[in-house]
Amino acid sequence: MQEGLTGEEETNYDGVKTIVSDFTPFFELWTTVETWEISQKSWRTDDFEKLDAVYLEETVDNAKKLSAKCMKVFRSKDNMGPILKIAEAINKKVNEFVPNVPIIMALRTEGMKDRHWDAISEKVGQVVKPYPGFTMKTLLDMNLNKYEDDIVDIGEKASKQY
Amino acid sequence: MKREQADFEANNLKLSNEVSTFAERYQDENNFEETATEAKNIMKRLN
Repeated sequence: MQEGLTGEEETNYDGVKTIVSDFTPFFELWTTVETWEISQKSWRTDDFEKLDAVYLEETVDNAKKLSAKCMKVFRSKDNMGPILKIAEAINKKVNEFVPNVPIIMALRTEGMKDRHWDAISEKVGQVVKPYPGFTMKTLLDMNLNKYEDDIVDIGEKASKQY
Repeated sequence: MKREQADFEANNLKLSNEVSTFAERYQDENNFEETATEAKNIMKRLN
């Protein structure tokens, strides 16, 4: 703008906009893969009681949206086979994880007391209660998805009683 | 052409080449950390 006012040749930024537009799907794909892989490793190995469920939910939502967007873009371009496969792979991983989110959110509700853990354990027929070394992986290995409604219900009660 | 303009266009050409070859250079999912770092560096230079 200033260059134009002084009579000098204006810099044309259209080329940069095109490059940014072309590059954005690659940027979004790889930053999504990075965030997903690092977060998954942390969630699976860190103590469940330290898991930030709000961040987890946001990360899952973003990864789902961005990986789907990348797939759509790469499918519309030629010679994107290997990159499309990476976008499809991360999208598949995210979508397979999505059904676990409500249970994780419920169990990370502030206000979960012994009585709530006991109620969940009774519903699912096995002891569900964090202990040192109890991680998200420990939880997922319990295959509690079919008890989702009960667990979410107890989590909501715990939240209201908090 | 101003020096700044010439530098700007040369930098754009370099970035354009890096972007156009990015997909070929980075296709290994196992190498995601290095690839994401490179993608962030390129985007930072573009903005």
